[in-house]
Amino acid sequence: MSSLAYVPPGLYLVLGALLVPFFRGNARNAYMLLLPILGFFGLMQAQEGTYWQFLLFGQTLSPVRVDGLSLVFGYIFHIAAIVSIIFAFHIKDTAQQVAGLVYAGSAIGAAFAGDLITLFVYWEGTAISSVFLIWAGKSEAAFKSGMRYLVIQIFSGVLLLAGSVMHFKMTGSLAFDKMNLSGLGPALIFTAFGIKAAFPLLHNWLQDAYPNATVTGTVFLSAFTTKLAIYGLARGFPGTEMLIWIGAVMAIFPIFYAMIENDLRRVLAYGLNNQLGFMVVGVGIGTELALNGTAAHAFAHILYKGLLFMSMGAVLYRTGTVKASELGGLYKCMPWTTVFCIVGIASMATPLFCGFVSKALIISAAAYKGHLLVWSALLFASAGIFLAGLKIAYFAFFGGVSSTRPKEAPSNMLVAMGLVAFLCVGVGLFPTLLYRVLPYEVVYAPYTVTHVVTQLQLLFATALAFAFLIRRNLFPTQLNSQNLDFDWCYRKLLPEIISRICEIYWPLHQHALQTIRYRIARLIVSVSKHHGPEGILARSWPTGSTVLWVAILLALYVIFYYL
Amino acid sequence: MNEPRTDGKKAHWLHKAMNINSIWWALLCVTLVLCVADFFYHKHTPFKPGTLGAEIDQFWAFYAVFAFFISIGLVLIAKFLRRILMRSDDYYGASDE
Repeated sequence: MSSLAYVPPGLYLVLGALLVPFFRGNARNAYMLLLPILGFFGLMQAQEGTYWQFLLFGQTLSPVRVDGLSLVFGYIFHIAAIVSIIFAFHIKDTAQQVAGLVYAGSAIGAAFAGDLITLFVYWEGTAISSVFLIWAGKSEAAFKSGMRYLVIQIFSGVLLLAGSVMHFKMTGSLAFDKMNLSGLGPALIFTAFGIKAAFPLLHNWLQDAYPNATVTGTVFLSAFTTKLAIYGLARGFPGTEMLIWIGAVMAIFPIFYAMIENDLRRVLAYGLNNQLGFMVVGVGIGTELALNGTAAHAFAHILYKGLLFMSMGAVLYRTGTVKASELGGLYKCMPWTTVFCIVGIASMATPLFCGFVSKALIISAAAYKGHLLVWSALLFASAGIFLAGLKIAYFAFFGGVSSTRPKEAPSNMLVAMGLVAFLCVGVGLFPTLLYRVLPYEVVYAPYTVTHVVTQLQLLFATALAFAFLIRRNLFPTQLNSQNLDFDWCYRKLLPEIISRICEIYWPLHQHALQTIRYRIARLIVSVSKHHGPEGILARSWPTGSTVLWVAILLALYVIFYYL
Repeated sequence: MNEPRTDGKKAHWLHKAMNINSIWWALLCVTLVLCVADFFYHKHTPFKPGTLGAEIDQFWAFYAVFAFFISIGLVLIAKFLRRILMRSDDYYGASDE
């Protein structure tokens, strides 16, 4: 029996989080670190199969299902939890620590959910716990964007539940397996995944909330929610052609925003959205190579995006800002952070780093299937995101006007960044380590001469274009601003429409109210006219006339009786 | 000012190298070398032979030319889009700060 027979994955962290308040100082840090490490070792001994099955209302639920796909995500979620906890060692805020652990644990639990009900429970768990990492930002902006985030995430959960119920009605099964996108049930589940995977037009919660979270909160956030949705898509909807096109659009449009956005953590959020596009394309293609690519890229991307969010977090922690327009020249005083940020950027696609060996699987899979347009879109997206990476490095650490010279990042942050950087390079140098844990067997060699030379051409030409644009002063000046995105619809347009409706409705309402009051007043007047003290019906009558009327009525009664 | 000597040295070296002109020339040389390298190996295309994809992929220095021009195009289009999309920082009410 494997260790999973004793504790389901994810629950280590969720239940363990409840004891966090009982520890203090370094003991608390050690305890928090121990939880995902235990979970990771538990997972290493796990054998494929379903565990902990039980009956609920006549239905068999399988809270733990271990197979190739869930294991990749399980491993990387544990690694992400470990490094995020180290990165947050300096934090003394219990709420954030508990929220971070519950969040990571829920995401891990969801990756091993064998049925839709368990998935729903963990799905909402990630939503509710993660919002505290945004609210802990403690600004009004953080509170408001946290609210928007929560509404959207909970809505995704509601769709998942509704879809699951309909799916159950149709098929009689609650198992979370491959579904056909034909009925309303699977369509709702697909939309629920789409919201968390930040599909185009459903994406803004990501760019809205992540830059408003705390320094350490964003590192947690970047790893779990969106990758969980990618896992859901890979599990439930592999080979759905629509995903190829959704993914291609997703890979391209965010990079335009990444070019003009001033908040560097928001640039990273747009970059995250773009890389999710690659993974969605992989799910859409649905071949073994493509699905391997999606899983591998989710793994690599969690590593290097986490590293980039850490480096920007360190900058924010030390300087109080991550606005490109207010930074510059930090390589002099934060050399290690600079190096780790550069490793993060190199990991996007450079040979010898992790992104190269994972992204190549998806791009090749698109070409093998003859998707020329999608293939060129992915090349464009690769060049574009590398350009965004160069922009981050340039404006934060090299160019720029700022003369602020803060201290190097705290040592716990450096250790966390160092660990991730080590993994980025390790996976890049020894891709078989990653390929070995992928869901299908990998027959792919990333390091061929063609791959390496063409990829280097792509990257160096992009860097050349960046240097050209900077040299000619053609690169957009970084300005403190808001760039309109789809969230304009619900942050500006919808409130505007509602206020207009209120403007029109209010006078009508007032008028209707006045009319009703007038009518009631008249009714009261007319009633009091007849029934009031002076009214005809309230007048006092002499007893004699009453007796007379009674006598008349009696006489009439007697006459009718005899007739 | 009170930085350790090694840091001071490093900063000095980097500062010299940070000249955008020298970076530009260095990048240009490397990119050209990579393009020339295309003549010296057999390029395996992931596309089926005879398809448009295979022809494009086999084109000399395709990846470099594609990346260079599309990057410049991307930045210029983004710069143009900013005219439509950019608003003041407090557009949605309170500033993010």
